[in-house]
Amino acid sequence: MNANPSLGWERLQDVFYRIRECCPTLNWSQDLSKNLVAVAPFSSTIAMFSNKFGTGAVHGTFIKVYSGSGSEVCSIPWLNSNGDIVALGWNDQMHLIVVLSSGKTRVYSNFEGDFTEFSLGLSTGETVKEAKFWSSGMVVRLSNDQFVAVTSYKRRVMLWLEEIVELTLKQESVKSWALNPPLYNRELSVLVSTETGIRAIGTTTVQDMGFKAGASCHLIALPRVGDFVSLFTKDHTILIVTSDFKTILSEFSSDNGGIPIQMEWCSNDAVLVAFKDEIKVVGPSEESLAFYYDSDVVLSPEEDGVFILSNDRLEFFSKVGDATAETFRLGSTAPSAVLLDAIDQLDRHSPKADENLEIIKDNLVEAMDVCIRAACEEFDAYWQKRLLRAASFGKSSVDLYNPEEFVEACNILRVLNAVRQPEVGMFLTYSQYLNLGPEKLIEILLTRQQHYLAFQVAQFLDLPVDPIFIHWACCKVKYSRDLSDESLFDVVMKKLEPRKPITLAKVAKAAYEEGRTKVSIMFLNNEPDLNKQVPLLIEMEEDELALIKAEDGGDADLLLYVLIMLQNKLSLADFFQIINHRPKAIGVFKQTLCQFYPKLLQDFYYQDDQVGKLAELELDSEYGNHNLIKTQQDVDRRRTTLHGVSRLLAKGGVDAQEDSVLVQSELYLLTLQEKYTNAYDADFFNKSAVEMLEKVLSLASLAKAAKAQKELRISDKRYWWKVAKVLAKEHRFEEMYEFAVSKRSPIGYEPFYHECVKYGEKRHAALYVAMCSRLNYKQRIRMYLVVDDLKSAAEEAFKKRDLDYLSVIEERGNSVIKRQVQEYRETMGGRR
Amino acid sequence: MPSVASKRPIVNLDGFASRSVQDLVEIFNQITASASSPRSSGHLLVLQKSLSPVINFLSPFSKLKDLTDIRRVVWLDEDILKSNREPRDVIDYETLLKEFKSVVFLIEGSILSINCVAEILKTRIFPFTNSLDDGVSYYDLSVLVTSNSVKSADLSFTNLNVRGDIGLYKWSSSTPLMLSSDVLSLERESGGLRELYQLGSVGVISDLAQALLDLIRFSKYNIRITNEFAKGSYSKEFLSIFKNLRETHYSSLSPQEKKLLDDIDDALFVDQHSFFDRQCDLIVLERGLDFVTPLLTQLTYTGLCDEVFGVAFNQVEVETEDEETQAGGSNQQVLRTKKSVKVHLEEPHDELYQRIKDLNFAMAAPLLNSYAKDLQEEFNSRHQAKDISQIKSFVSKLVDLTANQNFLKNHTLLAESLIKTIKTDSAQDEALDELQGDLRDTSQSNYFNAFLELQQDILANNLDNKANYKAITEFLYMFEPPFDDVMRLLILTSIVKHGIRESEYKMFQKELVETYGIKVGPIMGRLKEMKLFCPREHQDYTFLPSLDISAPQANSASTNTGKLGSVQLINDFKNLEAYLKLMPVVENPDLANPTEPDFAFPGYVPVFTRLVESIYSRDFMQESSKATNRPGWKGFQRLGNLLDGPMEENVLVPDSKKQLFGTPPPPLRQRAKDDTLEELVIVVAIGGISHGELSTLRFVMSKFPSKRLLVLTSGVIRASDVISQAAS
Repeated sequence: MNANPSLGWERLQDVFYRIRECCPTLNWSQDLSKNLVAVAPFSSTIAMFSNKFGTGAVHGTFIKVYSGSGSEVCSIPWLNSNGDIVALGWNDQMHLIVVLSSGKTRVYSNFEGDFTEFSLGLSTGETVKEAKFWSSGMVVRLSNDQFVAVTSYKRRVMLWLEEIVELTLKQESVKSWALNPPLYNRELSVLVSTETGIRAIGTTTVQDMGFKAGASCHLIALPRVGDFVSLFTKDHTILIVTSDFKTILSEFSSDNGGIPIQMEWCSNDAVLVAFKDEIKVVGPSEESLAFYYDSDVVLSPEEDGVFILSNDRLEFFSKVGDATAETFRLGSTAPSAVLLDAIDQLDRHSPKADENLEIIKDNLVEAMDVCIRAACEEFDAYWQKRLLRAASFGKSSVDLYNPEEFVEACNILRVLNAVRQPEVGMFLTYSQYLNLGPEKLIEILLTRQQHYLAFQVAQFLDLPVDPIFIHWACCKVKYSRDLSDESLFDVVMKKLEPRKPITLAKVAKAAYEEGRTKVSIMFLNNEPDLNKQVPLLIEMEEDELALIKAEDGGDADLLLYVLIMLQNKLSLADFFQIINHRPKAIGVFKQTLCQFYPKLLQDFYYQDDQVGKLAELELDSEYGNHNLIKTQQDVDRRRTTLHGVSRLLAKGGVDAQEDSVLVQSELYLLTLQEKYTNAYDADFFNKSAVEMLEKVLSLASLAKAAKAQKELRISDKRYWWKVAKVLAKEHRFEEMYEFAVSKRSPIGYEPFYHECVKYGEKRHAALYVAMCSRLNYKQRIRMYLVVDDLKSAAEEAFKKRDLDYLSVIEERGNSVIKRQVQEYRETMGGRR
Repeated sequence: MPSVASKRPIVNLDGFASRSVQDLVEIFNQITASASSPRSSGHLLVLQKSLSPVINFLSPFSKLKDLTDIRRVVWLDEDILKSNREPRDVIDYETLLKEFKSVVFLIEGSILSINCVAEILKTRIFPFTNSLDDGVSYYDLSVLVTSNSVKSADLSFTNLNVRGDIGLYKWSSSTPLMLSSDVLSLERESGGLRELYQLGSVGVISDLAQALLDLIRFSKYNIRITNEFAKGSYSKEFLSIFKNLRETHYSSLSPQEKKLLDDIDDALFVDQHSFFDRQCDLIVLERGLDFVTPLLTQLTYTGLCDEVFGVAFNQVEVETEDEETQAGGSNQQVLRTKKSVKVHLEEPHDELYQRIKDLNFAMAAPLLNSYAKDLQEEFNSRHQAKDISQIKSFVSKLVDLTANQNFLKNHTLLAESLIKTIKTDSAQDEALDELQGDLRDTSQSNYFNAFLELQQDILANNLDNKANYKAITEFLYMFEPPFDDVMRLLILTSIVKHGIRESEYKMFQKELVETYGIKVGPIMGRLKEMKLFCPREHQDYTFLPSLDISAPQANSASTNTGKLGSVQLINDFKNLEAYLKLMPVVENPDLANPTEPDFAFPGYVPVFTRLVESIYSRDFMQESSKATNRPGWKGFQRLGNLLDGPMEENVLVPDSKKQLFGTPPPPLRQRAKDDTLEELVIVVAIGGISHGELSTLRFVMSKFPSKRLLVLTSGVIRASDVISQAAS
């Protein structure tokens, strides 16, 4: 261990850089020069393919995936028949991308060999030459020097970049190219260096940058952020220019005569050029740094530095942060350096510790903040602890200090140290972690199947742990082929039970994909969300169970979903069979599907032998909306329908047979309607019996009406009422009176009186009052008064000797009435 | 009620109504944002006609157009699937598509509407979008469904091969509509009765449960239901569906939200007492418990408006005769023109309506008069204004006064039209009336009163079978009333008498078919299945047969009758009426200050109202049944014999808090003085509720000042809905 971290620092102009070992030794024996190598973001995994040149027709070649510490994570067997691998890459989901020369691309979504494949759709003769990746996509260069971008692996969005005519016609050739990914509001483009200069190709434009110095350069590199471009020209000069190629910022002649292999930016401060045995670091000045290697190296740029992978070690090259620099720089008098020194003094029990505090007491808070930040930067637990101790020592002499940052730093460092362990081998820096976020970190850990660690991290950082359990359960299901269904279920549920309610659909799906339907259903039974449970059951062909579940849930949408699914896949008979005796399913079926396909309902009733319902349907459609009889065809149709319904009902039970009687009489009515229509030359169709009677009454004589009454089988009471109403309405009062007195009325005579009053025929109305024998005399008097027959009213009152009424009548009457009343009074008085 | 004002509301529902529009605007923003064509030419909205009143209720269309960039609206061509459609109805999409790049369909999401959309897309839209010459024109085709059925809609569109061409959005917050501050309604056609009782579909229940869950989510989980009550099998089903939805929803919550829920529970269940201090009750009732009430004539102001003119979406349309006096010199001419006026009820600031809406119309009319007088006085006060400040204060009130005057005008108009319908035509004759005393007016010339009296007679079971038959047929002959009204009387008879005598049932059947045609046959058939209008069963209902036998198995019986689709649940009307005091005898009734909730119907208290009331107070019952020291249906077992359907009563305690309730609950504790949070009582009325019932519920709950009533229903219904749901 260094006595001071600064001992390993290198200065480039006024900036310190350092190269830190991530892992003392990689426990592999791989030669990078013989492999295709792709380092994943944060160096969390490294993919290698040994058959780099596609030479040996060797059986059993593998794509090997290693952790950052060189331990094997998985190895994917690769048959040569699969195709020639042109490039390996990673995206930010930690999915391995494998590009084949044929244009086929595989995306491995985990380390268990599960992949999806898609094709770039190349025309014959075209092959993929190269591919370059960014966090969410890639650009491939084809054999005819066309560039194709894939901007989403999931949705398989492919963009053909604009072509450079000179290239595709082979008048020029590509010397080197660099990818400018579509980030930070930039559009995707590719910088291409050819014999004549540099061009930028976008999706719709080709721009000639007119930079002759960049013609035929070996390498081009772009920093992630910042408008710079670095070029390694054919005369071994490293040029750094602004992105519009207008200004050359720096020019550096390399003294290494070898061919450069790779050029990358360290953040946007310095450029690293990897040669066969050397890495050169060039800054914005004439100065440079050199690091020597005895093997090939692979550079993997990050936001805050570059990972350098060589045969035996993984290192991280980065700028020394300001906080770290001022704390550790030799001879630094910055407050943080003094504070750190105080810890040394303290350890030596020297009183100078206090003196140190005294010196920086005005800047103590700043010193603590810097120490915390520096601690975060360090990889070495020793220095982390020391710096944090310094901060905590300072804290004891500050009255009010917000400890949040301190606590957070401690927590994050713990997590970082955990994932940096060789067993995991993710050399995440502090700032990379902040960019990544803890949720993403957990996801990465899960793809690496580091469940326990992920769980610890989640608990420690107070994040949801359910997804970890689910992921674990899915893996468990996958890898427990030997366990019986019951014991597998028990093992998994023992872990998951306390976490309820937890959604198990994913586990069930995993089990189903493993072909273990039974255990899959067992998991589904514990799934609280039916919306996840039911569709999966249908996928598993567990139709009946799906229907039962949907019924139990009672969500109409879900039930309908199941019904439509079942209707799609089953024959009608099977469909009815499955919904039979499921009242809720039938209910939803009737409410939704049958409203649109009425025939379906008919079929359903038919198979269920519901005679009454079938008849009802027939009648509804026959008598439904605006379905009126207009022509003879309509009459015939109706007759046929009614006959049919009647036959149908005859087959049914007691109730149905009763209904059949109604249908029979409707048939009879139809006959009468035809008959009357002819007889009276008027439309009698679409009328009820009573309406027909009414029509006869108004069209013909009472004699004919009486005949119609018999034919229509209408009761006497109803008939009498109808006569009173119709005749009064048509002002046939004489006729009405004749009818009224022709027989004794079964409904009394009040209706006649009232109907007359209704149509203002007071004279006739009065005629009926006397016949209202069931009424009280008081009521009769009132009736007389209403029709202005005061004379009869007075007579009625006189008969009953009611003086009160007589005086009321007297008040209203004219002189004749008054005299009459007077007479009555005298008569009554005389008697008295 | 001042005590209510001081309570802190548990949830502010003001935003609940506006959230529907916000959601719709949000969806349109999404559509605009995801538009593939950058040129914004606004949206063409293809609207299913039946949704138009909903939209109008939620927001004035002009405002919605501004918010959503809808430029034009056409109706969804619902006849497109019919073979014999008239060709002239076709909407010219070809021309429209030249103008619009974005077509948005707003539909209910039924299979029919989905098929219409697919057909329109295939035959009217795709031919033109594909043949465009400039090739780069993309069309944005979006479909918004208002129901909850987005999963099945998605599948249906996939089946029809158009799923890939459209963006599918769910606008489920279009319902429930907030009809008033305490009523949320799905506004289903005939209250969803047809779906429930004809088709036996749980769709309505499922949507109600979803609406309740939405409400709880809207309250940020402040509505934490602690007690649930349910009577009837559909009600029980509701609880089960709601529980499933709730659990599914909770399992999908983020850990932070789950924590919030746990915190609420922790605060709620500190000890045994705290829980009962902060009760939030869910009472679920279904229409089957009481088909009597909705068939009776509603007598409150709003109820009567609904009965006579029909209230839809808080709007009444009434025909009036406009009298215009044209002063043409000496010969004045009176011009009469008929016109229909639309009156909006529940307008904000319409205090007058809030005062009269729940009153018996007999009380509402005088109140209108006195209000008019007061208002006039206020207007006149301007003459008394002596100085500038008084004039100023008058002017400042003027806007309100004018608004109030408008409201008054509307309500007066309604009231006058109502009076025309219900008052006897024959002139009142006081002198004669006095002499006649109790004698019934023989003329019966007023339909309304005759109908009302007959209802009362049937309810009180005043008529024996024969007399009842006679009365109804005479009513039929005399007035030749609409089918619905006769049916109302028959159903009442059937429920009250536990079925109609076989012979009379047949005669009624014959009479009805004779009068209205065979098309009413199937309606009667369905009502018979629903046990609404049915012959008395053969194992005749002798006097109180089951009381003693079935009492011990009341609980097991409830599971037996728990079958879905049992419809009319009143088993023994006579005893039910006596037990629940449905027709209370009130000495010296004072309509202005009623003591019993019987003012909304002819002397009758709705069963719903009694069931809710009985949870909190049994004062209306006989002494023996009263004893209850805490809210609930305890000691109410006898009800099970009179009213079918399972009865559920649960306390929703989380498992972690169960141990607190190991012992029986302690007696009701004196409420803490600083307790100002109101307690919510959510009544879910499955299958609709009538205005009259709402009024009585409000009346009953006003006796408990700390409680706040919130009714969630599938629709506000009236009598004709009960009949029409049985029509095809």
